[in-house]
Amino acid sequence: MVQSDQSTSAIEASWRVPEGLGTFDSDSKRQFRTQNVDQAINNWLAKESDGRTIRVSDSSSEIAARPTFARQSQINHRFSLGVEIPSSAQWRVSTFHALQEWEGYVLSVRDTDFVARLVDITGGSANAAEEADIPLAEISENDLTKLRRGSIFRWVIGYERSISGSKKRVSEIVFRDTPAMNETDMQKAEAWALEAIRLLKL
Amino acid sequence: MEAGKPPRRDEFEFTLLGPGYGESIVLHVGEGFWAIVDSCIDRNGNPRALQYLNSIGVDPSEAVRLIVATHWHDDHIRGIAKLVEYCGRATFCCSSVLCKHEFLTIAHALEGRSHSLTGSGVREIHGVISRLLQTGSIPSQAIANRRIYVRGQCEIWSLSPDDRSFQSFLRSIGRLVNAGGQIESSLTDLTPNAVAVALWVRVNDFTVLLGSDVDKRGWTAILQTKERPTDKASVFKIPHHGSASAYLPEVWDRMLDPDPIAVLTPWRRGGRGVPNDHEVRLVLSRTDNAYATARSSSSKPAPASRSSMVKRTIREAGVKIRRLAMSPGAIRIRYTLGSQAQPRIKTFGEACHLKNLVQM
Repeated sequence: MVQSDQSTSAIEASWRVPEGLGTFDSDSKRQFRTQNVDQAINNWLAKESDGRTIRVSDSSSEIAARPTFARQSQINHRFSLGVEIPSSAQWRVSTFHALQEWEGYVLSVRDTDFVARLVDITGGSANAAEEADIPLAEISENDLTKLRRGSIFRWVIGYERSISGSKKRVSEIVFRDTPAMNETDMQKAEAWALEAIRLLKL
Repeated sequence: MEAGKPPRRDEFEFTLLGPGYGESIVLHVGEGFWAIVDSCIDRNGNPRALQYLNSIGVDPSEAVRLIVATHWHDDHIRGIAKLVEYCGRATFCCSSVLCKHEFLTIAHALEGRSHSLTGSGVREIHGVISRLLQTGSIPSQAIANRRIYVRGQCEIWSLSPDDRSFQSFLRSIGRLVNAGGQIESSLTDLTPNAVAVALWVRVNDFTVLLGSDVDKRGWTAILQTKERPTDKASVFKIPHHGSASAYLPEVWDRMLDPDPIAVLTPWRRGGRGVPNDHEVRLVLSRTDNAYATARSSSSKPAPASRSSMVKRTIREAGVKIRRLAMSPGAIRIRYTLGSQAQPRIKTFGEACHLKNLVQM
């Protein structure tokens, strides 16, 4: 379905589904069939809008839009795609272009910085070939709680470019959450351990 | 590296391989049989021990009969699952604590979760156990004063971990998971060095002592036992990269021949190179026959090539990046068993005499 407000009602009538998004359900022109809505949206974004915006055409003009939500209905893997047509002031969406990306592994935490081993993802490395002293100021307040010896993070350096063309350099460090386990996971792990002990006579 | 021919069947060989990150030891224990202690990998992720054996014309799938993982720190274990898979006739041996229910449960629970790209020591151990479950090969468990291998004139004993370290380690694993099933603290809060396996290897009349990363407390426990073999060793793989935290004078006095051949792999962590000048001098005060697999632990490899924008951002963020990579090196010792001749020492790649590591 198309989320519409006053400014988009005219568009809804001539809405066309871009290639690759999915197919219309036969009994409803407002629902699409697709296996993976997220992927479909991404494909659509890449195909139709060079990763920035979606172009929706009506007979007289072209308007930038962006998908805002995707919902899966209870029956037959039927998906609904919501599209919001923003006001013109919101049309300009910035893009991020990564120049360098590392995976990091914290070795130690000090008063004003931490030491980490870095794997150069951009360079396709399989080994931690670099080590870095990184100021604590580079980490968000939220991620400071995750900073500890052994924690893993991504560090990306790149630039953001707005549609108007202005460019801003960005350095962002994001920590991974500690893997969560539920009771079933632990039961499975225990069963595996007991089986290993039995079969391997440990 | 141009390693030449394999040793004769009556020659013992000890080769320490060190790429700058990690170490691996290959031992010819006579009659064409080999053992591998720990594992390190090259830049492509291949175990260096396999490369070395292939380069001298030895087929690891036939000749390797024992693989020991002394502990699960990344610098000692990377690639060991591949080794176990490739060396189908080898018995795998690791610290007995890693075969316990507590550790195996954690290892399996973490498998497939949020691992680092480079994997982890726990993942390697899990990979090995999974492989053994497929093949049905029963592993050997190392603990203090246990003979883990015997064949012909060769016997290999594990000298650690002692009972106290064993129990303490199990308790620390238990503390990782809270009542709700969540991992409360990092696996890195565990201290694998405390349960590292030191090995005593004798083939005919030649003995070597492999120190793994055993620390002072571990050595103290080893020295206190009366059940261990007492022959003094002619070759010493210095523990923990030469760190002072693993240096105990009594080990040199009571477990080693005078002026033994001592070898180590340098290490760099947190901007600090191990061994430092003081630690090098400690070793040199004990023997003139000391070698390292890399020329210097404190030299700075060339920085990685990156765009000016990335360099500028790194600089403005106040981040300091160091390259870790050191060129690979190896130290090989060969001895004709029963000959009483001087062992022959050969260095490859970046390996050098230990005195070259002292900052002038």
